[in-house]
Amino acid sequence: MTAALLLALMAGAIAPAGITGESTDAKAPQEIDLVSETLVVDHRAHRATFGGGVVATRGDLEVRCPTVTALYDQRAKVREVVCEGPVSATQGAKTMTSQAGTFDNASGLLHLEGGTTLVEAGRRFSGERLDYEVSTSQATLSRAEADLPGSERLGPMRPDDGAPFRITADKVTHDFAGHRTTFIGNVVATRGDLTMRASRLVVVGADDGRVDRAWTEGGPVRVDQGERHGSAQRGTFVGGGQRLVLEGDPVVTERDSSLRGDRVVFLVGQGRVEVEKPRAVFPLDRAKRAGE
Amino acid sequence: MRHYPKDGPPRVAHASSVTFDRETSQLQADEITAEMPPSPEVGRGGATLSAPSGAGDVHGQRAEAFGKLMVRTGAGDRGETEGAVWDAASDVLSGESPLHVRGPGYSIDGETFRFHMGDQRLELGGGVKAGTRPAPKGTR
Repeated sequence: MTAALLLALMAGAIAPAGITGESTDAKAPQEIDLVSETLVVDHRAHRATFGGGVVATRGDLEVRCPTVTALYDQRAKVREVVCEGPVSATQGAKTMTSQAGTFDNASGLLHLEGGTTLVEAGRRFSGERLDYEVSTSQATLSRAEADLPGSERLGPMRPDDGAPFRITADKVTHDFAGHRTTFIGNVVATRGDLTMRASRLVVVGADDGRVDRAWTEGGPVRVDQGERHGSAQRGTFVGGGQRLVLEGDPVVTERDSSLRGDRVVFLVGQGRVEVEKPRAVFPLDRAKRAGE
Repeated sequence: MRHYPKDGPPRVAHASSVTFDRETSQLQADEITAEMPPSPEVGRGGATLSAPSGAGDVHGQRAEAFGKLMVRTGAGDRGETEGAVWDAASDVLSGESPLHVRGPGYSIDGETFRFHMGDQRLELGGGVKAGTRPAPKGTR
């Protein structure tokens, strides 16, 4: 009989282990299923630890990690879910990895930290931290780097054929539904022989993950292509990233010469630049020496 | 049978029959039900439990429940397992049969369990499945 009495005490301990919530609105927590080898509920510490390899499923989101610890309050509401060890999360074609992570079921926010990566349809992002909103499929990375496939060919038989865009920035937001990526702060975009610097870059991709078009926002843009340099108020990648169009007082310089025009078009991977309605500036002393 | 804890209201257990062996101090009971009112030790609005039979010694060194054990709490939790053993020396209640717990918004299943009374720690092993099912509006 004593055993039965103790079993009743046990019920009080096990109940808070559930990740509970009320269906009060459309943003209410969705169902979560966890499968693990072990579960330890430390009722005094208000902590439940799933161990031995955990698979947590919420809708089409699946998170895997060695250990999951849920911290709950006096009212048995889970405050925080922490995934320890290497974390792997998948949702559809998206795969995210990190060293550790937390998940807020109420807000549907998956927070990953430590060597985070995000891969989808040929796009690859990495960064220090990754916040992923499950319901809206929006990801935000800090101190991030991205590899985005461009058009297949930069030119006939060029060594840079198929080269991806490699873009670094302080912060990156990616909207999976709209295939739209925004790079913010100290943006450096490299493709083939061309490097572009800006404060903000917006990239729209095609369904297959390739860059469809991209443009800078919020300030001047600088471009380096070998010994050739360009600057303007804004830049736009067109043709799947094969051309970079500079507008807004564009200038292209090479050694001591400079060229202005209505538009400057860098041909990526071809070492060429085209200037519309050009106005050239050459150093007089060099022209003079050339004439002598 | 009444049990008077240090804190909280008394706990009352009923059985259809009880056998006591004076020489061995063994107690055996059938069709056991027990009411445990809410207290600092028993949360979740108190608990009611039932077991087909149980046995133990009156000194409380060891006790065992047989058959399907069921627990219900005032908060709507339902627990079920097959047999359990309590050992006073280790202060552990354990069972080697699957444990199923359902409650408002959650479910937990384990193959084995060990409940450490002293530090209120429950261990489930042998493969665990837990799930949340958001409670209907207005319920807890």
